Amino acid sequence: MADTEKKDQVMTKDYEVAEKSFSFWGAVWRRFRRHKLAMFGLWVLVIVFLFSFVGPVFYTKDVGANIFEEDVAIYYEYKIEKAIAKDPALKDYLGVSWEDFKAKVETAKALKQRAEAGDFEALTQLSMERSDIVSLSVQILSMMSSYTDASGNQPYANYMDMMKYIQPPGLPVGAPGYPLGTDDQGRDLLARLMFGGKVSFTIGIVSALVAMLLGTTVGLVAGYAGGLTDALLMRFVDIMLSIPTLPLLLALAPLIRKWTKTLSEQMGLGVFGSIVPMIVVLAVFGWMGLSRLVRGQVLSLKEQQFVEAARAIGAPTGRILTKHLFPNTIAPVVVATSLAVAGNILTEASLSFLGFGVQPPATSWGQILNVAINFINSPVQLTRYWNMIFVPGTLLFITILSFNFAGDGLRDAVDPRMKL
Amino acid sequence: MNDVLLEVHDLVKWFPIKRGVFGRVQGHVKAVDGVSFSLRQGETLGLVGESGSGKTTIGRLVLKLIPHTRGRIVFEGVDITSMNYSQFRPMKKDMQIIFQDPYSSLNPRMTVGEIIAEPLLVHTNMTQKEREKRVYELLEKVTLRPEHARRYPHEFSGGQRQRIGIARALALNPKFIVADEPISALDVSIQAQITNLLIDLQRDMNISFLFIAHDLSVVKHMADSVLVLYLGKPMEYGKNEDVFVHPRHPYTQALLSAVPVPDPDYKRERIILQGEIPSPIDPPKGCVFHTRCPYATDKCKTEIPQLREVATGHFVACHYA
Repeated sequence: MADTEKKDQVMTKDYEVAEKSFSFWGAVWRRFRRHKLAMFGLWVLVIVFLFSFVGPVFYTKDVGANIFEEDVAIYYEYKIEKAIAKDPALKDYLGVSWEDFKAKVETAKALKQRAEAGDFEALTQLSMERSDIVSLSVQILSMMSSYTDASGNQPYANYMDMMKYIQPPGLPVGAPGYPLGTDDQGRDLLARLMFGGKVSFTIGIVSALVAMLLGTTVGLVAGYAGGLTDALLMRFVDIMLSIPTLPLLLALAPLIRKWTKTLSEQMGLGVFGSIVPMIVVLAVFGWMGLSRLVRGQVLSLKEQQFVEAARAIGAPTGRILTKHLFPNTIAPVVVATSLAVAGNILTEASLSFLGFGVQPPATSWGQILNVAINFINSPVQLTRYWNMIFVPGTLLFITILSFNFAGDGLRDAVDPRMKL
Repeated sequence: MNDVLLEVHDLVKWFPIKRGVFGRVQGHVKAVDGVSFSLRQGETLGLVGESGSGKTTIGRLVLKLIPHTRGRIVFEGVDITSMNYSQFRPMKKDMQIIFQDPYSSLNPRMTVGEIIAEPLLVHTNMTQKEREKRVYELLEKVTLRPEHARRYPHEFSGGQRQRIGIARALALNPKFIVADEPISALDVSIQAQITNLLIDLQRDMNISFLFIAHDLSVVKHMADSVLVLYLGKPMEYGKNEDVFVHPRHPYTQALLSAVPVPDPDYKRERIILQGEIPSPIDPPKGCVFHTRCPYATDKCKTEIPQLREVATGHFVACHYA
């Protein structure tokens, strides 16, 4: 008795499993989950996505605010205090210079607080204090670099190097409160990367979706209607494809800048004003491949007997298009779109890198790289601003790579004949 | 039981051949050229012939899946030839088709349940529950299990898929089904199953079949009457026993002599036809079969033989039959 009951239970379980395979996308998700590289890509994407969109909720630093000499001096004070904690003899060596430096930093901190509260006088005073802050900082750093400890070493010789941060003011990776340091304008890089990620993702995803809508519609219409409609639409696609995109965009750059200005200033769209033109440009030049893909699919599907069967049943044309043709093209469309997101983020980065993409006040990863490229020829600046090159570069790289992994996984997962 | 369900008069289908940039019509493929037949309620008409003889085209024409060039199709006394798609749509309830290829005739993105329910969805006002019940009934009728309704076509074998196709065709209780080589894509053992299933269904539901096949033994097993086609033209038309026992046309005789007989001691005289079937773009003058006929004379090369009644209900298109 107990045995039969157990058997029954097992059978019901099997039946439930079978029931789950009812939905197509449920099956796709099950197959996708088994694809390790794709799941890795998806997780990375989720992390980068959260970093860009949820990160700013927790890390609220202003993307536009830049730091001043006193902030760098505070950083020096922090570094030297840590050194003193390790080697108390250092405090005696620095003597009164250290006291003066600390006093100046305290004054600056107090003034800064007042200035932030809206005290204009404090702000003026603070800016007058800055040359003193610079000279005191230089003095204390050179003293640190020439310090010889008990065993005859000069452990702080590299402090001379840190002088570069005071003029123009900037902070390196790991400075307290600035995990990734600042950019060349003294703005917090982490906050800017989050913001840039938001811009890059939005542009990539929205432009890919708009291109998908355009391409699918054109492809479905051309493929199903055939004849003259098909010929005209496809020749238009050929024309669009034969336009050299990059030179055209470079030529259009002034126009795009004008739109940006109109949208963000006159229409009050702010940051979105500088994103919209990029989305339009990427969508307008990005739908042709998809329309060819969909048309090809529709042409081959039209010849399949199940379409003839639907006509034999007497299904209306609308139903044939939406129930029989479209669902069979959606899989490659989704795959192509997910890969197009990566392509669009990259194109946006390239355009921004060339200076023709996202326009200030917005920024993007490509835009940050565009600024950083100026430093690549000077070893001094390269060592100072390496974070501006490698951090957004790496982010861009892993994001694109992950999109491609996930897209490939999706391609395999949507094919029901693939046994993963 | 003797009422005529489907009548076809002098059906012609020419496919235009377009060439060049401007699609100038350069000629025609004469796929079907003057075919007439009639089919009674509950009977089966076997349509046989070599590849390219126009069998499948006739099946498509009768269901108006492709437009015809000339001729008349009368279904239940209604002339359907001049109807457009929307006028004809309601009639599809009574006229269905089973396709040759069970792999491409089922939409891979729909579950078996959705596929079988589609005719119900298009033509009836059944509720979801009623449709589900009907789908389960149909699955049982074609000896599949109700839980199969939730699966996708790729999870089934060729024979099972063909049964799904049959269930779809049966959904609306049609009076007439075009079976377009329903078994030629299947294994021999499965062929027998499907053939018997069709025979059982015909007996139970009184369906008329237009059974298209190039396997003569199956046609002999199933059909009440037989139409032999060659290059889109009828060669011989008559009752099963007339055509199979007393074939009068040399082409029919040649076809029958090629049927394998499962008896190792049987010595047969094969009539081997020389050469290929001529192109339907430029069919031979006179009798279309004269290029391959072992008995052809000069008359055959110039004069087109008309379909003559040689015995009651037995028609042959040959000067010497």
